[in-house]
Formats: sequence, C-alpha cells, structure tokens
Amino acid sequence: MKVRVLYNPDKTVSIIYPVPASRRSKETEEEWLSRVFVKANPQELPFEDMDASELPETREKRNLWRGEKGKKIWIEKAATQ
Amino acid sequence: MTVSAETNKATYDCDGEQTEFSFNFKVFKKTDLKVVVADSAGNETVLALTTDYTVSGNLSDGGKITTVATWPSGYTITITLDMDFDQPTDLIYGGSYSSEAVETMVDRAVKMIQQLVVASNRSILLKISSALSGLELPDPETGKWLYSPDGETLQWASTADPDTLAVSDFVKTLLDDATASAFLTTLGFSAFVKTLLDDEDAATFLTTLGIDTDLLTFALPANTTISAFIRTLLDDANAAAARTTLGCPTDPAAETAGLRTLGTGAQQAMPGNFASANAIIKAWISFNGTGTIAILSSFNVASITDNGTGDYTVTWDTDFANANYCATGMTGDESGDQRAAQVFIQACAAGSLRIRTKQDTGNDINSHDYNRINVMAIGAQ
Repeated sequence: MKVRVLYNPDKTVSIIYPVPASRRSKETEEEWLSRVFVKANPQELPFEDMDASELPETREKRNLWRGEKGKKIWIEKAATQ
Repeated sequence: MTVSAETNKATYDCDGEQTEFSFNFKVFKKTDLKVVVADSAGNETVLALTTDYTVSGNLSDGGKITTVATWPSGYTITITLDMDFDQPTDLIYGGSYSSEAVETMVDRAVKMIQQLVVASNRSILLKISSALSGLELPDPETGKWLYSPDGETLQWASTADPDTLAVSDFVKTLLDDATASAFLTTLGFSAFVKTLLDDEDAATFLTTLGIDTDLLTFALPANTTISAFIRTLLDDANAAAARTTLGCPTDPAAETAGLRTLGTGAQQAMPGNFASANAIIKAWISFNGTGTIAILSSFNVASITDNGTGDYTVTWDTDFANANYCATGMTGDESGDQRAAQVFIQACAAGSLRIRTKQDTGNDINSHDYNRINVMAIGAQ
C-alpha cells in the first residue's frame, strides 16, 4: 500500500493511509491518491510517498518516530529517565 | 444477236487515278446506262452523261465509260443497266418483215427483265416456302423500327409505344414515365423515401432521416423496443428534468430537510426514519490502529492519518456542511487487555475529525493503540 509521510516541523511524522473504498469509478489510481493525499494535508507540510512496508516494523515506539524530507523515518532513542 | 444471261452490273474500287471503267453487257444506247459513285459511308451520287462521263465502244457487247473526275480509295463506282421501260419499234402493218427489228424488240424485252433482276436482287424477299403474299411495307417513319404485331402484317413502332412491347402491364406503366421521380412513384416509393435515394453518403442519409451524425438527437422508430416511458426520459435536458420525469423530489434543499415534492408541486414530509436526510449516518469507519494501520470497512472516508500512538485523523471524502456535526466512537481490544478504552475528540473540522484513543490504567490515562477503533458521524453535508 502506498502511503504519504508528512514531516511535521517538530520532526514528528504523520502517515496518511488512503481508504481504497474512496476511489471513484472513473479515477485512475494516480488521480485518486493525489486527491486523497492533498486533502489530508491541508497545512501543506513537506512529504514523501513510500510503500507502507518501508515504515518501521512495529508501532511500539510510535511516538519516537522522527522524520525529515530526504532522510525518511528514524526512531529516536528514548530519553534516559 | 442473242442476249446471254449476263450480269448487267459492274462495280470498281476507285484509286484516285483511274478514269476508265469497262462494262461487258449489252446496251442499246448510251442513255441506257446509270453510273453511280458511292463514298465510304455508302452515300451515292448519280453521275450525269456527258457532264460527268462519256461512253465509248460498240455497246452491243459492252464498252467503257470515261469519267471527268477521279475518286480516292474507299469510293466505288458502279455501272448498271437503266433502260426506259418502253417499246419504241413500230412494225407497219403489211410492211416487209425485218428480223433485225424483231430481234431488237425481243432483246430489249429481255434486257428490261434483266434490269429488274438486278433491282430485285437488292430487295428483301420472303422465303420460297412462305405462305404469305401481298405483304406491304408501310411508309417509313422517322426513328421507328419495323415489327409485326400479328405475324401477318408489318408496321412501324418505337420504344415510346409500349403497346408494341412484350412486357408486363406493370412495366409498361414504368416505360412511359417522363422523369426519375415519376419512375420511383410508379414503383411505389414514397416522397420521403425518394429524398433518401439521392443521398450520396451515410452522413447525408442520416441527416435526411432527421438523425444528426453524432446521434445526439434522433427520432426513434415507432417499432423500437425502448418503452414510451424511457422516451420521456431521453429528452430530459438535465438531471432536474429527469427527476421530475421519474417523480423524484426536485428540490435538493427540501430533500435534505426531509421533504419530497409531489406531482402537484406541493411538498410533503417523508415518513418514518426518512423524515430527514440528516437522520442518516453520513460517514463511518472501523480500523485497526495497531501495527500498520488497516481499514476494516468504511463509508465516506478518504483516508486515515496516523499522527502517533492513539492519535488519528479521519478525513471525510465528502465534507460536512460545517464542523457542527455529531461524531462518536468506540474502541477497545477485541482480545487481551480489557481495561477501559476511550475515544476523545481532539479536533473537529468540516472535512476531518482528529481523535485520540486512550486507556485508563487505573492510575493514569495514556494514549493507546487499539485493534478496533470505530467512528461514525451524522450531520448536514
């Protein structure tokens, strides 16, 4: 599945998952994804499109996901208590 | 002198030079000859004695003519007998017997007969076995041909005279038609069909039929399988007109407000649960928020945005009229941890809803991903 990664100013990331049922009958896949991705990014944040398989394998440390355009996603090391 | 069974005719091909042409049959005097020149098309000219030719020789066994002019190749010149049919000898009663005079009389008679033979040889004769006699030719008529209507007589006829043709009565009615249009009328073509027959191509044909070449407008044939009702739809100019034809509400605003338009134009509240379109759930989604986000099922949702642990934005496919719609949700793990699970609204906009899913551990309430998160929304769109 293709997803769009939005890079927030604080380096956290948001991942847009398109809902397949929203694709209209006469839309190409490219048209559909463009429409859905643009609508879900009203703030026009920097982004990169990638396959969902490129995301970190586990959400165990989801709040530690960081990202930057051109550098994709990495997991920040948790602060030592 | 006797008269032999000779051919009293001589024909020569001209060569542009020859002027002397002999004949070997007996004549009594120079004027008993007829000289004819014919061109290559068969047009004949009778030459005049002295003016066009002279005659020499003893005449009793032939002689020759000498022409003044010459004729080129392709022309012919014919010399033939052309005696007057008379008997000029006068035998005096009681006079002396002149055998020469008698012989001349008989010879002239034989020559006249031979002259007739030459003429009859150029005539059309019935077969010797024919039972017909007294067959007469009518006077020639311009442009007509000879035919026999009964096998016994001859008459002139033309193709414009259908009574002379061996064709059916129906075909006779065609043959005298003066124009193509009259011909087609006789054949039974209607005036409309005749306008089709001269169309030079398919596009023109369709235009004559009243069908435009793009098939945007056309008259359906009477035997079409398209029902009369569908026809009333086909000419509707827009969706509103089609709704009217179908008897559907024509006022979308009224429909949203739960009113339907009757055939009289009056509006009536729709019954039961359909009293208002706003009573219908406009969007909903069920998804798995653990691992890679997985949409289980949905309606009117364009995307889910994963903002972090227990933090999701649902983006509607068709927006609500404003942010004042009613959204609600449930969440939880279908197996395992059954501690209190809660859904919070973090931000509500016409086009999206940001929610948080949290778990009450008893000591704290923390953001938490659940494998079943359900959200639905009701309101005006």
